[in-house]
Amino acid sequence: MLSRKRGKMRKSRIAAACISAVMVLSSLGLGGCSSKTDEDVSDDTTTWYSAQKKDASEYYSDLDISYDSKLTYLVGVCGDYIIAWTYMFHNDYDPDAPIQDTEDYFMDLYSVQGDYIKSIHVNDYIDLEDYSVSAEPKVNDEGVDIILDGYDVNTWRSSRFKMTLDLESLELGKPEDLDKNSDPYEYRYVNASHQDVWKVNGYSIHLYYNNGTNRNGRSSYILLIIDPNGEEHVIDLANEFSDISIIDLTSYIAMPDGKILIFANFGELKLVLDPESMTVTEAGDEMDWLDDIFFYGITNIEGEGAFVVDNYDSSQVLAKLNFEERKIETVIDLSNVLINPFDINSMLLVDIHDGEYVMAGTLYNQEFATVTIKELEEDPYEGKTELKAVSLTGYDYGIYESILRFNESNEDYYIKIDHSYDSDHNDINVTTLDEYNDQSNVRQAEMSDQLMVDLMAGAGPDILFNTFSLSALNRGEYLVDLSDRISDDSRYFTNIVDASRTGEALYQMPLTINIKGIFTSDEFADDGQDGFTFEQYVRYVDEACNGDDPMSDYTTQKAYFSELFNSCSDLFINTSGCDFSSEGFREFASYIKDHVNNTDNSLPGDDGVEIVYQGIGGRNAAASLTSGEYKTLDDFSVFINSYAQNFRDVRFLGAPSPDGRGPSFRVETSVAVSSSSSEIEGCCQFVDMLMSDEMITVLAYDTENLESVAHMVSAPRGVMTGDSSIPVNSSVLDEYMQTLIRSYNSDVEYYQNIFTADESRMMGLPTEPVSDDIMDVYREFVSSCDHARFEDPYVAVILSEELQAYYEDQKTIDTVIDTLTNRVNTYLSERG
Amino acid sequence: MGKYTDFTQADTTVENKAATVESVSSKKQKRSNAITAVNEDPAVRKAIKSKKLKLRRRRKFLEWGEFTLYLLPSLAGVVIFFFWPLVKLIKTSFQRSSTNTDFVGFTNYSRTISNEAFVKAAKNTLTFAAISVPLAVILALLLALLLNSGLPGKSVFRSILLNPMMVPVASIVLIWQVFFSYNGVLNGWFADWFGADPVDWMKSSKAQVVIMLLFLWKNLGYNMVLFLAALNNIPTEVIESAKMDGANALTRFFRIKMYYLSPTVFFVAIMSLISSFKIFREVYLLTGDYPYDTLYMLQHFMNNAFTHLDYSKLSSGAIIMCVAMIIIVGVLFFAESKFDADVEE
Repeated sequence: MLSRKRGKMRKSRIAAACISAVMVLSSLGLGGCSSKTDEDVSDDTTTWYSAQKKDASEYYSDLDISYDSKLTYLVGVCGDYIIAWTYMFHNDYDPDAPIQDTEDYFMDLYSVQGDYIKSIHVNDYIDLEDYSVSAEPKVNDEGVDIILDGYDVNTWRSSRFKMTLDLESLELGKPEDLDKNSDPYEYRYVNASHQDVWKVNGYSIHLYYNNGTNRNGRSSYILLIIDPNGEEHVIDLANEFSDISIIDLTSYIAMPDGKILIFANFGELKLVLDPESMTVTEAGDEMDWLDDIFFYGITNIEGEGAFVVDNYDSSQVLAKLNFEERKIETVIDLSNVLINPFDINSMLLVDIHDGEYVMAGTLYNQEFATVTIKELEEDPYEGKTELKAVSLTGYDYGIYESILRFNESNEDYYIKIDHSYDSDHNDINVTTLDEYNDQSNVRQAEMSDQLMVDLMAGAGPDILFNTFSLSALNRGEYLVDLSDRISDDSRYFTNIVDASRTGEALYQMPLTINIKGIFTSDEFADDGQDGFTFEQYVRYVDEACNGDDPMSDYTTQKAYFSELFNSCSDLFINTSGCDFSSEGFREFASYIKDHVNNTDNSLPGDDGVEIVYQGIGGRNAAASLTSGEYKTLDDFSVFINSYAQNFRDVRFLGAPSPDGRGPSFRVETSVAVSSSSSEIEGCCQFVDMLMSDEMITVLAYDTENLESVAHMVSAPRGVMTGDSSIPVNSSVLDEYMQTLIRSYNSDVEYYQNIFTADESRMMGLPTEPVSDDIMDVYREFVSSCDHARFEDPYVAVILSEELQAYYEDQKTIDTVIDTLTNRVNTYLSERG
Repeated sequence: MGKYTDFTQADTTVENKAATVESVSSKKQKRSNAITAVNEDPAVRKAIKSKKLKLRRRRKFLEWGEFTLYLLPSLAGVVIFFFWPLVKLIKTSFQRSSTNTDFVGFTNYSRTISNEAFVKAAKNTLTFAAISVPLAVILALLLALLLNSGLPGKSVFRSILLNPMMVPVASIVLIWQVFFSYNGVLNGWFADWFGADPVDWMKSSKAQVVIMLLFLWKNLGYNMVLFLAALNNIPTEVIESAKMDGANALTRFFRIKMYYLSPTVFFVAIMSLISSFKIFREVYLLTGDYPYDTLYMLQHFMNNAFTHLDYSKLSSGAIIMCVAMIIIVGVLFFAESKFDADVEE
């Protein structure tokens, strides 16, 4: 019996073994032993589009008018014509002359197919000797008028005239006196000014803006709607929405159901106008899908629908708004159009016909043009090998331009942009600045992890832009050593190039940089001083800055610490591990604890551009030198305006650090080549092109024509700083500086002929020319940087978690250092 | 079992066999007609025997087929959710990465084994298991013995000890944070009662002790219940006869009770070992991706590898861990089988 039982048990085991074997084998079959799939075959199903640009440049280049600046903008579409308006401001400003003699106005006419027709010099038609008027175009029910606003030079009585463009002959009529009775709409409402006319589905909607003077400051609009039968209907939004102010009615969408969606209050409020019932209501949640849209870029094409040019899904696109499915459908990916997307991303779609999309507006260089986009039947890059390019931080004008030029000029290769690794930070929804920085870092870390894994797998891109911060990539197994591409060291800032190397190899080529440090007066810095130790900095803030810390913009201890740590992390972390036990780190932590308070952890505002007013007589510049300023080294144009007269007194020093090091640089634009690329030679050809003087100029200054940038040097109303970058090619920087100095001194000469020195100072204009020595000073600032700023988001998180207890006096620095070293070493050893 | 007749246990007479065969299908009835005659010829008997064997095999095959059909859904689940991922994991561990299937031999394994973080994690995990699993077994057994000794309020104590099993993980983490954080209750008590300086329990050498406490608090109840059930299954007459033979309590415990408890001890040890690996969940919630040294477990290493998309490191680490577990459990099985060899059923 026992043997029978044992026999049964043996059989059961055999049966179980068989079943297990079957399961394993079936798993193998399911799992498969397939070889590498052909995922690296280039996708040749891209739809490419041609872009035909037309403008009035030939007309304006032949004009015998010298002007200081020119501005053109799109007025609208009237009938079969696209109307643009151009202002020109003269160099020879005569304050006593009529306005129409100091400014020139032009109406540029294009067909809706995008063809340039003619430009009308409006001033030639302003036959008003006794009047001083300025001109402004205005669209009306029938077409477009030009409104002349001004005054009688003899009686000082205000006057208003109108000239009408005849859409048949395309000629302007003579000025007609525009009294209150001549226009049925202009002065319809006493407390509301006529602002605009919308023509939608046969309705004319006149918008009257009431600034709220009789409504306790609550502004609103009156809508005068003329239906297709000619009947008038009035909707006073003040009655419909009595509790809120309504402003900025500039955009609308004609929806398929006949209603009109209106954006108000800078997009915060959406209204729905129903022309059938003549009612206006607030849009419900069903319109939430339009919350993030760039509503200023919306146009309505009759018979086609509503379109918008916007960033969508990490790409710049022309998109259609699908109201049935409530989604934004990409019509054209602008990176597949044979034009720089930045040239058309601020344009509006004005017409669609025969498969052609006509866009009108200002190009990136602020010149007006129409661009007709048409799908290409054939692949423009047929026969060329595709190279894939990615960027971690998006693409700017310069990168797009370099890719376009390479694609046009290279016979064997073309580059296609891949948006897979773009990290979008626009939807981060947090309440504090520290949280935003943390989440932003995590997003970027996720994308960089993905990129690193793909590179390691040989499945990544061929060309990498702006991955300089990913120091883990700096190995021969990931990237190609680009040292050979530098043929002549003397052309570059060797300190920047050398600081970018890993050992002897240069895996990521810096192309443009920016430098951050502290501007101060020479009297507060010692000879040979590059930066500040913490002790020196405390003394400096007390004595030179009267206690006002130049780095006070960093309003939390965490942000302040991160800012300083990023420029000196190499002191504590290297390839073999980390060590925070040094005296330097203790000093660092102690400084943050004792001298930095958490003052404001709120998120910053929406200002993307800093307006820097040059002040009166350089007063602001002198003030900043005294108090010290921690900022990015300005673009040279701003530097001249700020320090033209006292540049020899300026010192640019590094932020406080344990070793008192000089300013650090951050690479704005970099390029690298994947060592797994099957077309390394082609990629290197692109790198060579990028490193040419022409392309570096475009990358740094968004144009090759430095003269066009130079004219802004001494603009009296202030200079836009925006994002400036410094080219790694020292020869390009020299040329730029020389151009600006020439322009600056030319402006000084001009102002000296018109104004006295006191008048110039009052208006914030330069009074003395600047010498070329300023170039040496600026160049010296750039040459003083010998280390890059670097941030590892995971290390940053660990540091902020542990140091918080020290800042709050809960732990000693020794305890914190022990934990920090422990945790960071774990992280570093894990990464390998 | 009533459908078919077990021929091996049927009467050996031919008539009975024939009668039994007649009660089956008509085909079998036909066949049975062919073997109604009594025959002492060995060749004929052999032929009859072989036919019976064939019929038996066919019947067995049909039985197997039927229960396999019933098991198929479960089998499919096990294949899809266990074996297939395991095979994929093994495959990935020999590839350059999840997207590049180039065979790289044992490169990933050597890279993982030589990684300092992996070595640290393995050491911490094994240390934790080596200390906490025996403690979980011994303490649970002691508790079970105590509750089995006729203590009043036994059911109340049992409920109290089982309560931690019902508490969600997030709540456990919260409780531990409240107690053991730097500004927590425990430091507060020590400061108030003894004037002691606060201790950073989770970021010091004492961190593993805290986690062991958490592990024991969570698992003792379940283990104790298993031991209680096992204790109740020990035949009382054996204990009594041992008493009568003069065996003292210790002798009775080690010589009798432990023999009966050995399968349960083995089972509890296995379950506790598995639970000791699952403690990562609580540790991760308490301390994040990169905890203090002594809390950095193998699962941290693999979790971070997953986060950083380093699948080759992840898979090789997982396989190494799997092999280690197989060895440990295999040793336990071997020990159990040796210990259990002479236990009477």
